[in-house]
Amino acid sequence: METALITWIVIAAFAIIVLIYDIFHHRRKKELHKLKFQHLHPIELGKECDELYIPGDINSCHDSDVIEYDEELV
Amino acid sequence: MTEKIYKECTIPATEMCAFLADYCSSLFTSGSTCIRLEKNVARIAEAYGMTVEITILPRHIHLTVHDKSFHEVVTAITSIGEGPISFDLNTRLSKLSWQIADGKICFNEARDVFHRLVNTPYRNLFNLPLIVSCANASFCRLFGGDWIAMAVVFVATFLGYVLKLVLSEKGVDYRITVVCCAFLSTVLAAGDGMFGLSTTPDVAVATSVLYLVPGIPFINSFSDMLDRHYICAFGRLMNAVVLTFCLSFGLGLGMILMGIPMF
Repeated sequence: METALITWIVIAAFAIIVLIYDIFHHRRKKELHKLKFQHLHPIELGKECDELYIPGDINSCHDSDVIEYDEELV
Repeated sequence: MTEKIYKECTIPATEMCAFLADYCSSLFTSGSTCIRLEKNVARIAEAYGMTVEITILPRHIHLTVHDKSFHEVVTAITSIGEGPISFDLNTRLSKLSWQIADGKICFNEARDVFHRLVNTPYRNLFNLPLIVSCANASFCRLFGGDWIAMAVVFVATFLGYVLKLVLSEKGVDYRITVVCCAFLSTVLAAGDGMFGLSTTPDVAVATSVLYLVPGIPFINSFSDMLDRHYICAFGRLMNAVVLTFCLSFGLGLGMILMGIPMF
């Protein structure tokens, strides 16, 4: 009974420490992620592709790669 | 409403192959079935006027990308990473493939978006543990547990799941993670019987580890088998069996330490 009680107390304390660690770690990770990706354009797709055009770079897109179409007509 | 559509750009096969290799690895790790992997990758390659052939093995993916005229043929072998299953990432990667196929995104942007998707910690701090804990507490009720046993299972699952997320983010082997989480949840749930809180302590202990049952690997294994990916199906099945053994080991260890009789 004593062994079980000690085990339970140790494990419960460990679980609470993990929980507190996760709360602080998560907050820090979120801030680091913001810093890491702040230079990238918004995730909204298809809005800022023109800005990625690099002359001579075959992979970059520019206006000649873009055609306009009216969705209502399709 | 006017919308921009990007015509087929000319992408070198080497770059396309490198992108698809990373895409495959991430999609497979996030818990995708083989059929979804094949469809998504073929959809992306088709959007850029290329064809892709894939061989999916339990730990590696072998890709060959070529243009329609076979002027450029590139082959890559990529390792499948270790990581937690994430249907959120799975869905976002599939959505990305549709954005590419619909011409709403160019190759450079697709790479940027992909990079952001795989590096973004999408989990909300407590949303997932709370939902999983509610589900596990409901299982406890289904198996005849009373309200106090449900509360005990909720707490044991919540703390076990938080440990699982922390260990997964630290890159600890998933099998060790399962053993640790099963042990922690079992010991915490055993407190129910030890302190005499409820009338159904056995149900509390038994249901406290159900969140670790590898359901997705079992289902994916069956799905792959139906799609005739027998090697991959067997690999996933063995993985699920090993995880079930790890779960049982953690549960058994916790029960022995807490002095709970097994039979």
